[in-house]
Amino acid sequence: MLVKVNNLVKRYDQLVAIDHLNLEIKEGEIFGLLGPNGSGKSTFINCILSLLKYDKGSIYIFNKPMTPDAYDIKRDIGVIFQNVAVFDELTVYENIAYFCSLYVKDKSEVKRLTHEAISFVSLEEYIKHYPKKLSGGLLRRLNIACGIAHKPKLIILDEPTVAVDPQSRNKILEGIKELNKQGATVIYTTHYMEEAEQLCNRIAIMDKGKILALGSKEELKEMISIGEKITIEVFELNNIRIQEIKRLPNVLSVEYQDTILTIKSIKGKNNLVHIIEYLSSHEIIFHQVITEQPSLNDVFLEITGKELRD
Amino acid sequence: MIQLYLTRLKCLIKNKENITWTFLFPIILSTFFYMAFTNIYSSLDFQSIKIALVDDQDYLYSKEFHQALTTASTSDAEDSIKLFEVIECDRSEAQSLLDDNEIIGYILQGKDMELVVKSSGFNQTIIKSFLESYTQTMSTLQTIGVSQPDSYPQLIEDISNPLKYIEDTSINTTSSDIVLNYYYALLAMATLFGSYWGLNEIINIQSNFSWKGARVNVAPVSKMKLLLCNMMAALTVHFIGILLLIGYLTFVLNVDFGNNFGYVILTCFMSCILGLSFGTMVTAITKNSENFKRSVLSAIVMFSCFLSGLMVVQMKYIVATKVPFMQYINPAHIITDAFYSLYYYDTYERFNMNVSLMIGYTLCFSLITYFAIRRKTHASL
Repeated sequence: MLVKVNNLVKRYDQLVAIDHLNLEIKEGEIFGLLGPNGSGKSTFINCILSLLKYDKGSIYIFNKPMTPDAYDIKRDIGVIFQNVAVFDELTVYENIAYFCSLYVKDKSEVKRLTHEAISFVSLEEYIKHYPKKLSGGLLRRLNIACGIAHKPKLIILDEPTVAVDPQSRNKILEGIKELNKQGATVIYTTHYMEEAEQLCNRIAIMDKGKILALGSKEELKEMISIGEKITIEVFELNNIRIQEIKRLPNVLSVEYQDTILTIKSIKGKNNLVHIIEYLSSHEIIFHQVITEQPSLNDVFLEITGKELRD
Repeated sequence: MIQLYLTRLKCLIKNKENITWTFLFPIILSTFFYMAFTNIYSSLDFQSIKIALVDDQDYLYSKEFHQALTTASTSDAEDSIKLFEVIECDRSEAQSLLDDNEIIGYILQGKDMELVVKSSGFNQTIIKSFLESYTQTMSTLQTIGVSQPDSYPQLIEDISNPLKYIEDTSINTTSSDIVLNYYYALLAMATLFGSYWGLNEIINIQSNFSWKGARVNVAPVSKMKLLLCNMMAALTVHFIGILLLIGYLTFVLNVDFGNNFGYVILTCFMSCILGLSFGTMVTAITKNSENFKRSVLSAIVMFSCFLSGLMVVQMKYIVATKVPFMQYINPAHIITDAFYSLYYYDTYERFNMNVSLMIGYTLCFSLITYFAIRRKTHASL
């Protein structure tokens, strides 16, 4: 195991931020920590980086206990915090070189790694620019370059795409996949389920300092009763009809709002056929029909009773 | 280490806000001081008082007075100043000169002397005092002359050659200059502005104060080693700034720092370290935002400089008499006094005490900083 966390507890006075958390992260995976704001993701990251003092538990990285002085472990970790942490007085190149030089002593090696990091985040055009002159997306890319320039084996990204435009976000996600391909293990925290679905091999769903569910996205979706979500555009539907639809085979729930009928059903054959037949036989006019597999948001909703972005 | 030092140096040189406060602000302020004090100097220069002596029929009546006035209007020493500049003329001409403000007043001689002035003032009072003194002395002489005529010649001799019972002895070889205190306080302020550099270094190294600090703390480098490196860079920039200020004061504004220029530079260096360590301590022990810390530093630095005479030079003496212990706990006062003692005293006792206090406070501030930031993990970020 690359990271092993045993029975971790972190309290802020009366508030339990991390509640007896156990976790193992395998080498070579992209591990996602998915949870709403305030669920304890960043606190967990800061604990495993030994920035925060925790009340109970143990943390092992590369099979060694993680402590503030564990420089041999830190040398192989790269961290990208959710806030951009660069020096405004240094150029893009100087910033990356400075943070790289905290890990690598050889000057020529620092130079080589800095150029590689610049190329990796596609900031070649901006090497002489100062951070204040960069857009939000470019700043995020600089922030990432500062964290990964020394080619770490374990990369921890704490919500790196917050307030980033879609183009830059895709660029960042592609970059993370590329880093993983090159051999880095990635821990990625986010409250965007799409990102977690797109990127992660395994995902832990967190809330109130606890891991509520853990597995691959397919495994997580298997854990919940919803098997299919059907959305149909219906212009008119009375309450009696809604109640009748609810009684159709496999239907779990029915919602009708603003001409959109949303039906969630358990896994089963011909779910859509039953609904379409019902609508046709009762001469209910319908238009667009969409069927979807359940999302991680559905998983989160079923486990916690609230939306991921609540 | 050298690379980190150089990068930090580059970073600091480009920090416009700090450069403005520590480099430009003291230079601008010293220029204002210079402009203001140039007028003070010229107003303090004593000008001989122009008076007219009316040479009418009574002119010869008082030979003694004429002699006394002549004595007061001439000077043996080259650098001493004549009290009066006397014009002898008739009354109408004297009145005309008075009307044109060419003279302060004119004296009519006779049995009873008369002083004619246009208005009251400092110079008029000097003339009046001179006349009263002369009249009293003459009256005393006349009384003694009547009662003890034998001793009269000796008395005249004594008055002609007055004995000095008090001798002026200078404590140093330099002349006193109150304006210098303003420049000393300004230098103290400039060196204590180094506390802003100290603030930046602590903010950038503490994970509970900044994200940059967090990034530094996850790196495989000793926090204390990095802080030392950064502090050296900060000291370099700050000291260069102070040297520029000293150069500007000495060579452009012609401020005289006395004969101990080497010690003046040493004092500057020591006070730069004191300023930096003060800034690191205040930043490390206060929990609030960076702006709050900066405000606290500004308030302390400006107040301590005020007490050491930056705005009102008398404040330094008021503090020394009313709350003497403040002299030993106010960093600005210690720095100011070090410059003062170098300029005014020929011995180094007082200077050594000030430097010892600076070293003591620097060590004390550094120790407090160390204990405040030595923790590597925090309860919250």
